[in-house]
Amino acid sequence: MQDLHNRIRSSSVDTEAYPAVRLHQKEDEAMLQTELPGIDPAAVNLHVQDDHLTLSFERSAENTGDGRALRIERPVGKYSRTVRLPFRIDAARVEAVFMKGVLSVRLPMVEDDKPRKIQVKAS
Amino acid sequence: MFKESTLQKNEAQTGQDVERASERPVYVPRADIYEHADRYEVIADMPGVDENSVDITIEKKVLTLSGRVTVPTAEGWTLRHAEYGIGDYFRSFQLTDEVDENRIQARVKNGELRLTLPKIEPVRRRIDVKSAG
Repeated sequence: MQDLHNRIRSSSVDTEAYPAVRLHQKEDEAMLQTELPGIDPAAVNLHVQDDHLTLSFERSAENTGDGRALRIERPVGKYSRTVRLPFRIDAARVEAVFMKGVLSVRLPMVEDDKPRKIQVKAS
Repeated sequence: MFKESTLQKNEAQTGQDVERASERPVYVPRADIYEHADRYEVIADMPGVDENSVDITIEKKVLTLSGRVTVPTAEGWTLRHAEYGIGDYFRSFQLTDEVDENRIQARVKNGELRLTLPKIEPVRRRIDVKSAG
């Protein structure tokens, strides 16, 4: 346990929540990435509401037939993770891409929340 | 079976099996191993790797998996929060004498590497018994 904590600190990992995510930002949108190796992208559920995104999926145990497990390290089970953003997400424009076991989700800000430039008129 | 805290990526410790060639971190892929009557199956999580960026070698009964992550980086984006690192993969396994090194098969799909290691078929020799008479 001690060892694991040291490792996490040294790799600057912030939390132990699973699945671990990376969050990126651009002017008026965010992008979340997470690693879901071996998961069928069709079995990943994404739910967006207001300012949060919930990601859930299930990783079922290997169907090994007559096989005997010598080592099991890969997680099995149902997982869910909710990430809250500092703005409301425009659900209709959310795009998700799954490539090589890495899921990338683009989360645009709703129009109303975008920063606006207000023209000051001379009176 | 797994506690939440063990689900994070395991960074390889330098000086043991891994010689780092760059500043990129190296991770130990999480793996399952199953034994069947005629083969072993190894399944390793290597997100970001595909068939063109994985290397499998066998030398002196040591099977080595290495993978180079080629997922498009988030160019033009500012990273705000990171709970995992991105790097390459490296792990080796000691094989037993019963693995037929010439028939090992591997495939990668959705960042998951699956290896089939057939066992050497037992050699059956038929001894003719001659009649002494």
